[in-house]
Amino acid sequence: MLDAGDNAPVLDSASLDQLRALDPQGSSGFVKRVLDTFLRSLQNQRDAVAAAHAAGDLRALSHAAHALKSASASVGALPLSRLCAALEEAVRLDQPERVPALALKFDAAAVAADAAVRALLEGGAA
Amino acid sequence: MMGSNASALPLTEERPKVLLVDDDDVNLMLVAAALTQHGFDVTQANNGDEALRILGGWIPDLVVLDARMPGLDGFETCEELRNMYGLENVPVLMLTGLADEASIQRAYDAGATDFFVKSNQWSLLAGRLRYMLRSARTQQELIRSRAKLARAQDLARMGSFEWWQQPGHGLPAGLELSEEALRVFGSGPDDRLSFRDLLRMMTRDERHSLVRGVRQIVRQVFGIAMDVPLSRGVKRNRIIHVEGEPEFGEYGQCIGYTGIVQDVTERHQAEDSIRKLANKDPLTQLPNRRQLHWRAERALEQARRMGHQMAVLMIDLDRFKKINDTLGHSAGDELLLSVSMRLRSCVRHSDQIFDGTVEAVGARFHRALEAVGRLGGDEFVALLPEVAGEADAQAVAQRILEALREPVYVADQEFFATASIGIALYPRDGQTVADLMRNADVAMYAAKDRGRNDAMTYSPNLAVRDREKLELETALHKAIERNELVLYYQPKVEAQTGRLVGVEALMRWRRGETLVPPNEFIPMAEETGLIVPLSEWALREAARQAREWQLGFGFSESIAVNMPSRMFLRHDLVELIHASVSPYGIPHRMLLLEITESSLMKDLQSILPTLRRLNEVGVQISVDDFGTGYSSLQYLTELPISELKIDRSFVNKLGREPKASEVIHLIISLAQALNLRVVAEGVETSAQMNLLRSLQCRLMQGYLIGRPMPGPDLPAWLRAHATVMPGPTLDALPVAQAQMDLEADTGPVTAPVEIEAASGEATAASRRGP
Repeated sequence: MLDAGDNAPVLDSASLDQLRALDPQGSSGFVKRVLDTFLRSLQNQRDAVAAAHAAGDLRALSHAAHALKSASASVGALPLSRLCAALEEAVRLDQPERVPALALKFDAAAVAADAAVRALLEGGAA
Repeated sequence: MMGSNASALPLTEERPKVLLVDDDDVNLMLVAAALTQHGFDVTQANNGDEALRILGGWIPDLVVLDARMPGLDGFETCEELRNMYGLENVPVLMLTGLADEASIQRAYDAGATDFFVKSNQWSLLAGRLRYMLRSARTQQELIRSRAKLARAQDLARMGSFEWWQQPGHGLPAGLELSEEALRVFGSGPDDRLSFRDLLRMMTRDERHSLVRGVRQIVRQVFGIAMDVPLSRGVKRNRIIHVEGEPEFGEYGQCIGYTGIVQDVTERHQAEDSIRKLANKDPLTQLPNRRQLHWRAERALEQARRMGHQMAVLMIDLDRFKKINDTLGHSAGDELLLSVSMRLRSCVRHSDQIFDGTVEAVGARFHRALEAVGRLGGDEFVALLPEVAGEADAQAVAQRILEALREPVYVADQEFFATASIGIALYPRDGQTVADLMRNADVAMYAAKDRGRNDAMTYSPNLAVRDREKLELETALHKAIERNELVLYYQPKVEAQTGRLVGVEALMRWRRGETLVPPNEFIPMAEETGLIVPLSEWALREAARQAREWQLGFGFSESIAVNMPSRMFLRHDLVELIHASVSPYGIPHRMLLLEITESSLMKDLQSILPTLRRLNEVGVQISVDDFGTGYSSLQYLTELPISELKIDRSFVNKLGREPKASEVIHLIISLAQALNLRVVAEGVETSAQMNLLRSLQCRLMQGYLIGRPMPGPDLPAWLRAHATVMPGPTLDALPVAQAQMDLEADTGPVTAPVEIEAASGEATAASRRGP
């Protein structure tokens, strides 16, 4: 179920366009603020997922994954969003055995998304 | 690409206020931005607790809740806010990650209005929100209009009902009454009323007629529109209007009725009092003219159809106007009220008001039309819808006269309110109500003419007489200006010497070729008030004649004009006489006024001052028809009068009834004691004259001496009289001839305008010589 994610770009350009469409003139620096907020949120939820995973608290892990799921989808970090969804689903379907592998992939995707967003911000594309 | 959607909300509309609740900052930011762009005014909250805190002091148009949040999640937040005041009906949209059935169900259970699966399709979200807003407003309006309807129904004492029929039964099986309808029947909102419960609020008769009515309506699938009286239970004596339309099932069969019930008691009462006002006389509560006419029309139709007779009795109180004038209107009203009570007891009076809305049903219906009504003033009508004949109507009339024979007490005084009654019968005396009323009226006036307190049945000659009377009245109005009136003069002499002591004038009306005698127009002149101008004219004419005679042959006695009492009641009678004599330069004493004994006594106190003033200017007063009235001797001694005229009836009986000479003797003695002149009237035979002489009666008047004659004839009469007259042995004129004379002054005082010259002076006699 992760196959599609492996080859997909870290940040989906169409999603980013939708984001930009919310601030067509770009005058208010809206996209930049969203991306800054996303980076903060990403950091928080990564920490939360790691802590929950370490503590074996699947409920907290699911919460963190859920929170990041729609945010990452919104900024176009679709592979990350899909991994969030997979984690949430594993917990909901009570399949704890899938969690360790997914957590690793999640971490990698999170790092990639973080780097891509930062690059975007530094490139002034926001 | 999304700019085109931004105008989806009209610019004129205020931006809808949205509370957006999401624990994820990124989502919050993005959704807020998207909604702002689509015309919403967004307030953000990071969690359920914060959202509830904001909602504690502010009510948005919409709430958007993220379902999954740490702490209070979306479902719990939704449940909480639904319990908060003012948020019961605010639309809430639940945002979920997945459209799984469990969360959707949970969302609805928590009170969410709708759910939305999270996506980046912001325009979809905005569209959904706008839809929710519109539907919320529609619902709000529906709630408001329901409340308005309920309030309006409440104010109108109205409520809705539905009932569903049992097949083939015809009576309501399931009855649903709205809260307002329950109130109409005096029940609380939580009560249940069945059709049977409603039937219990009625009497047996009411129940039966309702069930019968409903069965028929249902059988024919008509709409319901009926007024149902409730005589029992909490809503005693109320009238409920029921209006409903049939409801149809899928095969077009009637499955029940829906409609409204309304308490129309007040409206009925208002309609009742309007009907009363329109149909009843406010004073007596008897049927008024309008109602009488309506009843009479119905009774006539029925009489025509069934071939029986009906009767109309016109009842007019005698002398009511006088009571009204002397005692005032409230006493008059009291009298009318007492009389109306008595009148209604004389017939099978029915108080029920009939008008166009009531159907005349049944062969005996006309019996219920029988009534006494008031036309106005002192005029009443008794309507007898079925009589066997004239005798029936006469019997009722006699009953009425009898009922009025008892005195009526008004303002602590006793009155005899007699009536005159005229009767007209259908079909004999008229074919229409108008004819019957008019002919009953004619008969009533005939009864009045016959001396009142009587009942008369109509006959065609009454109408002829009536018409003649009307013509007479019209003509009399013009008689003065056309110079149709003349005065005739009858000499009055001293019995012993034959000397002329004065003349008495009688009014004649030269109408075309005929000479109308006074008894045919003076009573009418009295009735119509024409007597006043007639009397004024007589005074002027007498003065003119006196002057002519004065110049012609040295006439210096007085001419007396007979005055009705109403002339003495006028304050200007002295001035009137002054104005009459002045142009001719004759002294006041040449006019003498006669008043009948009865009218003198009737208004004595009012007349007395005028009599004194007349005396002061030299005008003497003669009392006519003396002996027929009821003069008290006491008055006679005090009255400023100069002459008594013995009523002709006594003179007529002289020699035939011993009593007559006794009375005459008494009057003469009395007059001598009071120093009054006495004149015997109606002397027609020499036998009478001789007897009068023997009774010491000095002055006489009558056919024997001379008939009334036109003024210019008097000198000739004087010449002839001087040669013929008065040896005591003079033979009488043939009596028969005298009686045939139309101009006879014999009618006892029907001619108030008589003139008499009566003077104690001897000038004329001395001039003429013996």
